[in-house]
Amino acid sequence: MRQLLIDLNYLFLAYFVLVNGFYLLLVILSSREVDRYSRIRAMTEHQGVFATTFYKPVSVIVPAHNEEATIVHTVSSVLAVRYPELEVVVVSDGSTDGTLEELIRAFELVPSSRQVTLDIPCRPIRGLYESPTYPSLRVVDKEQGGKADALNAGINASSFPLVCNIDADSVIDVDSLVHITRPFTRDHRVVAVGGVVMPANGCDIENGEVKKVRAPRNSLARFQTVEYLRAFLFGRIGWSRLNSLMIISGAFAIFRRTAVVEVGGYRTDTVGEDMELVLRMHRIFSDQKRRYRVLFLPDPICWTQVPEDLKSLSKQRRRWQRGLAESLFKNRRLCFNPKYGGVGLLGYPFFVLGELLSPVVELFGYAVVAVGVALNAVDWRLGLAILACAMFLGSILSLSAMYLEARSFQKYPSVRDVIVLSSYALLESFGYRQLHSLWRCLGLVDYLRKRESWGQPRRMAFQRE
Amino acid sequence: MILLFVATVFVQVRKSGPQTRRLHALWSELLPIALQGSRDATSRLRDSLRSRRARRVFHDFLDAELRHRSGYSPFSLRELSRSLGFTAWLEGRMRGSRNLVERAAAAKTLARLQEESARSVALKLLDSGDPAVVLAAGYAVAAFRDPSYLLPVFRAVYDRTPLTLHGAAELLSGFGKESCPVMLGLLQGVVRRLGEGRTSPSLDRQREVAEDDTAAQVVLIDLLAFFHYQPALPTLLALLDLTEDVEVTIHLVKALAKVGDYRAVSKLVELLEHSNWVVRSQSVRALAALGARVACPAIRVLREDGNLAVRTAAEDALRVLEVIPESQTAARLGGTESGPGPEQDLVGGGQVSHDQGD
Repeated sequence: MRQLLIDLNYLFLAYFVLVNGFYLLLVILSSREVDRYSRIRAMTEHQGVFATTFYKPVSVIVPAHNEEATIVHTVSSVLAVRYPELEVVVVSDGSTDGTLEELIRAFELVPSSRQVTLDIPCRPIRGLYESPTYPSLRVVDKEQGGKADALNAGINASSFPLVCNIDADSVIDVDSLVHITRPFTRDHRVVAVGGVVMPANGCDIENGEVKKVRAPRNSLARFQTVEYLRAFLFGRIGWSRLNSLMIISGAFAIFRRTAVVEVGGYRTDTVGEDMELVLRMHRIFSDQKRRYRVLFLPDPICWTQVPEDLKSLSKQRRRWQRGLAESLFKNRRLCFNPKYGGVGLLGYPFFVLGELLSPVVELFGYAVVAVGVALNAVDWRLGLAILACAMFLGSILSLSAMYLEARSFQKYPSVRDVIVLSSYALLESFGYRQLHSLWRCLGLVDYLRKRESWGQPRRMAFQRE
Repeated sequence: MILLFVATVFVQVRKSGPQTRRLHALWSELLPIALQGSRDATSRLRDSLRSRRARRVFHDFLDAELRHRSGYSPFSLRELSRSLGFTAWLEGRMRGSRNLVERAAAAKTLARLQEESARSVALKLLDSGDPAVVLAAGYAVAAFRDPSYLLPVFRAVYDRTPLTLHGAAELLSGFGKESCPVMLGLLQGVVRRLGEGRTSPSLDRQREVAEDDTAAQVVLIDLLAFFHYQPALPTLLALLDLTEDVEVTIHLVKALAKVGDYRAVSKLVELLEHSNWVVRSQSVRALAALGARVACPAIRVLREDGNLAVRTAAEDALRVLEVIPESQTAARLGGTESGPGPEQDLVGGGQVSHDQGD
């Protein structure tokens, strides 16, 4: 028993060193990539005079289910985006609140007789609306089928070669689309590009546009800001650099429409539809021996509302973990399969080990260390060292992300905000991280029990200050 | 961890701290007065540039002033920079810095100040393998407005940096309108070889544009349109007749609308039956921009087009064209119509994607 406890402690330590060591490798890769990107960006002088000539038209799809509090802001933000040829397709997915009515009122929508071609199966469409005042806006009212089904309906109703998905509780920077579509104009192999998503809580948003970026005032939202920076700034950039990017956030992603249609659109039987789609693209296009690329860009930014109460946050994280499990399981053929290159040999196994199982290992590890020390099976100094390693490596990663942000993009211009967020990066190891792991474990339980509930997060209207 | 924390705060303070803002505010106030010859302002500017850090910040400030052409003549800025001793500092940086990017950035600013010393350095740096260096060198070479380097600069920045075509076109626009005859000559070479049905596998890429070089052709077409270079019209129409490249066709259509010549109308009407929807929709937009009311019957047919974007473009165009008086159209049929200024954009339009055809 004593030997087992000691072995488990060392196993726990080895796991943390391995996983965080790999994350540190990603930090190094990302730092180099961000440096290179920033240097090129600093040297590039876009005046915008030719931006209207070299571009691909984009359809922005905004799925909405009971989003009456934020939908008008979101649509206004998309309509305010600087892009030469853009259509906005809002899909009301069986909303039972005033989402559709808000849209009709705000944008003076009228019913349209246009027919929607069903390139991808989706639940029946009840009506299509257009606006004489905003000719680039189209609203689809359909029977409820979930977010994936709403996105499929939006893709069906879109007419342009690129489709960009934005969550109904998000706003995008005015130049985001110009940045995020750039890889498509240079490289015909690019099928999907993801951009950075950041919490909008605390920012001043006016007429659907972020006027001033500020750190959130709510503690939970601050922890999430650090998390988002860590996930996007080095996680995804690093994976993209390794050509093994497996996830593009559903809150802000852009795809080549033909590629999405070719793989059959979003799956409606998973809550992790964004990750599942990217994994399926890797699988199908690699099977077809097609040359394709999935990229991530660090400067197109989308601002989204993050939960500010424990209940909503726990629901969201459980759902994400369940989505991760579903996506990985549905595409398990990728695992350790050399046919799928970096995704099969590196990305997939690491996601299983470092993302899917990490909350279980972490909580189990804490328990094993505590029991080991309590029973005097493990030296308390060793136990403390293991805990410190487990806890502080995470904080170092978060601080690295903050450092990278300050050095490169400086999305948070205020020094005070950077100090506050860096402090939260230090503090997250004491409680928040453990709570987060617990929610993720519950998400895995949900997956195993096949719990289907989506849950509706509590939405607040965007601030206007 | 503490070290990382301190480093983060330090970087943030350094980059966006009050000192940088204070310096920018001071220079924004002093620069116009110094350029008017005020010795006091010049002396205060000189004083503010004592520290190395201030000179680095001033470098960015001056480059932004030159880039945005904020109303100051580069020659008066050159004189001021020389009198501040800043030119000498930049030259030292351009020749002595170990960091290639810093050298290229210094060369770029010096080139914009029309300092001849930067020319040879910029041309040398154009061969670098670092994309940031190539970009800075490209802007520097363009600043000298020597059209013989137009194609080599395009090759360097497009082949060796992630710059998109619109970025490349913006950079090349730095060569100025004077380079239009060279651009036209390059396109005429393409037209000539296409007309003769001759392929040229051993083409000198630094001097000529190949028939299958889509990127170079569309950039040249767009630059000629941007400068509203009317003498290019016959070549653009000839290329439209000969090319089978859809992307080139789309840019030609947009260029014809931008050059604003009514002689393009009949060709544009023909293109309304093109198999690619982007060509059709862009032709509709171009006809609307040219105010070609004669095209209304053909555009009406497109209201039933299989593609939604074409149908929408046709409806929009008809709304514009049907209110134009017949007399105005008849007058235009007689000759050319001068286009709008470069700052106006007549048409939108999409770069073609080969996977979006009907």
